[in-house]
Amino acid sequence: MRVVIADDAMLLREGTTRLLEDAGVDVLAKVGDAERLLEAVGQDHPDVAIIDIRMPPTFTDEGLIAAEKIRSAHPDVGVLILSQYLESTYALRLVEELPERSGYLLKERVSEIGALVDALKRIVDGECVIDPTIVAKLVRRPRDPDPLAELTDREREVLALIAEGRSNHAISERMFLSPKTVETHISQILGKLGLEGTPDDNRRVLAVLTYLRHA
Amino acid sequence: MTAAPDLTKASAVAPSRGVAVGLFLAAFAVGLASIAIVFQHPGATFAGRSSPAAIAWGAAGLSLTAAGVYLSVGARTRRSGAVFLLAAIAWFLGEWNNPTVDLSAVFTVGLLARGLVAPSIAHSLLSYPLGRARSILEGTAVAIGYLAAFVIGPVSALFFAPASHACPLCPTNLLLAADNRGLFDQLNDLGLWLLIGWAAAVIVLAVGRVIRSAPAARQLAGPVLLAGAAYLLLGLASATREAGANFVPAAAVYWLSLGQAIAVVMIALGAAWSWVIRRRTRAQIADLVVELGRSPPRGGLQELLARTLRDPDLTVAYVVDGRDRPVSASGSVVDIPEGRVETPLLRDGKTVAILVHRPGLLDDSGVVDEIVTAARMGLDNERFGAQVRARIEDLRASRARIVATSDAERRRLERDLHDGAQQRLVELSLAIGLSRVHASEDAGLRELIDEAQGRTRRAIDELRNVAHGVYPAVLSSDGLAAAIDALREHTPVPIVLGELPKVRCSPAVESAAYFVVFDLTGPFATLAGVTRAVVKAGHSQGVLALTVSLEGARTLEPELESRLLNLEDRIGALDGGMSVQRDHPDGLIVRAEVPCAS
Repeated sequence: MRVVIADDAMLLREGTTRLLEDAGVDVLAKVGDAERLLEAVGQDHPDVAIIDIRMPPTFTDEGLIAAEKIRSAHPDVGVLILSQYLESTYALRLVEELPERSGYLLKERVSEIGALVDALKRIVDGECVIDPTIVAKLVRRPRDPDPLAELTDREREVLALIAEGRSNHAISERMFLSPKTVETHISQILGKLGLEGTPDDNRRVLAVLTYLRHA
Repeated sequence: MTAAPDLTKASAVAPSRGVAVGLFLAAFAVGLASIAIVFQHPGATFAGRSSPAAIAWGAAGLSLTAAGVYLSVGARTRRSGAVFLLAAIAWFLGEWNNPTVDLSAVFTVGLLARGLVAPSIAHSLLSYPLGRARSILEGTAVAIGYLAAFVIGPVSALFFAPASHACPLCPTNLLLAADNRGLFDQLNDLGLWLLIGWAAAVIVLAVGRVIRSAPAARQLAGPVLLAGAAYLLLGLASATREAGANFVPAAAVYWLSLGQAIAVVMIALGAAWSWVIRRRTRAQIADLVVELGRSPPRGGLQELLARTLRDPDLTVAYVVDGRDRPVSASGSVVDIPEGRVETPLLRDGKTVAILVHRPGLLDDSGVVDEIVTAARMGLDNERFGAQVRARIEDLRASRARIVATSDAERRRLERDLHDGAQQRLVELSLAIGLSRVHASEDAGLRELIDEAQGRTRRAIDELRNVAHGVYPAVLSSDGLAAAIDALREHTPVPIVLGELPKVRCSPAVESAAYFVVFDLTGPFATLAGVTRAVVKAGHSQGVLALTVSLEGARTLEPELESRLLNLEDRIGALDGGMSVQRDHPDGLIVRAEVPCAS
């Protein structure tokens, strides 16, 4: 796997690079701002671009904007946004347009090398990756009235995994259920929430996230 | 350059009424004497030549006297009145050097006063209506006129012996020093030519002044100046005859003299014209006083003055503390456009207000003084009002700055946390993760490292919460509506959203509105009994209106109350208003409105 890293904090850039290289990932370029990121992606054509959301000059959402640009200019390059912000707003902004090959992880996730590499692999495979902590917060959000009250605990777990962008196969492995059972659960959940008719895994992520945002 | 009308100073040093009365009596006496002379010895007088001449001459003298009396009534114009009375006396004296009079004294006085008429009339018209010439040039012209009269009169009289001038029946010249006909003739000629040149200069000055005057001044002094110029022109023409030049036929001299007399009557009528104007302005001033008595609204004084002084763009500005430039009654700074003139209004030497007007408006300072005095109280009130408003404006600005600073501080703090402590913790976590890779052999070590990692994660989480409470990133990047929406994941209180604004407001306003919602839905809210919060915000006519309903809230909880007070201050500093409804069955309803662009 070939990646480029964009982060204005040098220590983090170097640390992440080391971790990835130890895990056998090729780091083709390390840059500190969006402009150089776009250049590097254009030149080196990595599989995934790992991008810090907040970079110069305005330090608000440059990374997000750069990710959108990369997705439209190079659809075969995946993007993984790393952010210290636990905001589903940003995650949704990223996947709204193009859920395939997009991921939003909390920055601290880099220290779990397994999780990071797993996310990268999923992105290369075309999946959508949303940080579990963000999803958990979204699911746990106080609601009045609470439409999620109708779900069983198991169903809630499955819902969370769907929102994280996991495939049926991954869910069945994770929860030690058969794929058939998983499918049943999923259609029941989507039925209860009124979200039928979304076969595509990635569209399904978007539907669930949007639902969780607005309910 | 107009003088600043001082509200406290009375008109500068007027001659006393006694002087005026004295002059009047003198004019009266001299007039009577002259009439007697004309009747007794009509031969050598102008007035005696014909009825029209007599009427014209008499009317001229009478009208000069009348004008002098009329002008002497008012203190400001008294000096001018005195000059007119002097001119009247000089006019009457003009018939005293009649060769057929009996008294030598009369004859001699007549000789002395011979050249006096024109200069004194010129003096009266150049110094109308205040009794002073307007410039050094004009003052010099008046002086030269008198100088010429001096040469023609007293100086040459020293050498005039009527007997040797083919007038054996003339009375004697009591002032005769030496009989020197040649010298007399020369002096006479000198005086005459001086007078001619001088008259031409005064005509130019008078006409020039009329042309250059502003309409108000032109209306007032124009008739006097133009009639005077006509008089001098006619006099100049007949003087050339007397000096020996023959531009003018002999027969015309009578008509010239008649014309001069008529011109003098016109001069006096011109002076009386000011009486007409004054009456009109007096009525306006009376109206002004009445209207001022009705306490006009803010800015009303300016409109009133603009109307009364007939300058529609007139502005009244006040000097208030804390402002370098003058402000209007509403407290906003007044710009002085090109071509306009500032005149400060003084009281006790201090500038109380400034009138900004068209050039030349305050030439008729007499009327202006009166208007300004009448407006005194109105000016005071407005100035006070302007001062207060300027102060309030300062306070507003200061409050807004404080809030803006506090917002800026928060953003800076959040950024420092993000780039500083939060980053360090992530790096720490990364380092711990790296070291774990190398501890794969040692289970005990792995356990310790895992625990360390767990603690670090918790620290990261808590710090992230703190940073979010200081200033949420979504507010900066996506605005108020998105921030309120995102807030729902961070509060323990369920938030139900109604309509949210689609239009962006200024960062300060969005910040304040966000924090209203944030501050009212924190952990303390559940402790205060809040079961859910309904938030809606809308934008109309430039105002952002936010409503937060805290259902189930127990009122008068100290924590809640202190937060409400704080929020009210914040909203108020942006020119907004906040109200709290405590008796609603749903709970507590907080409404805030802020101008979007504050």
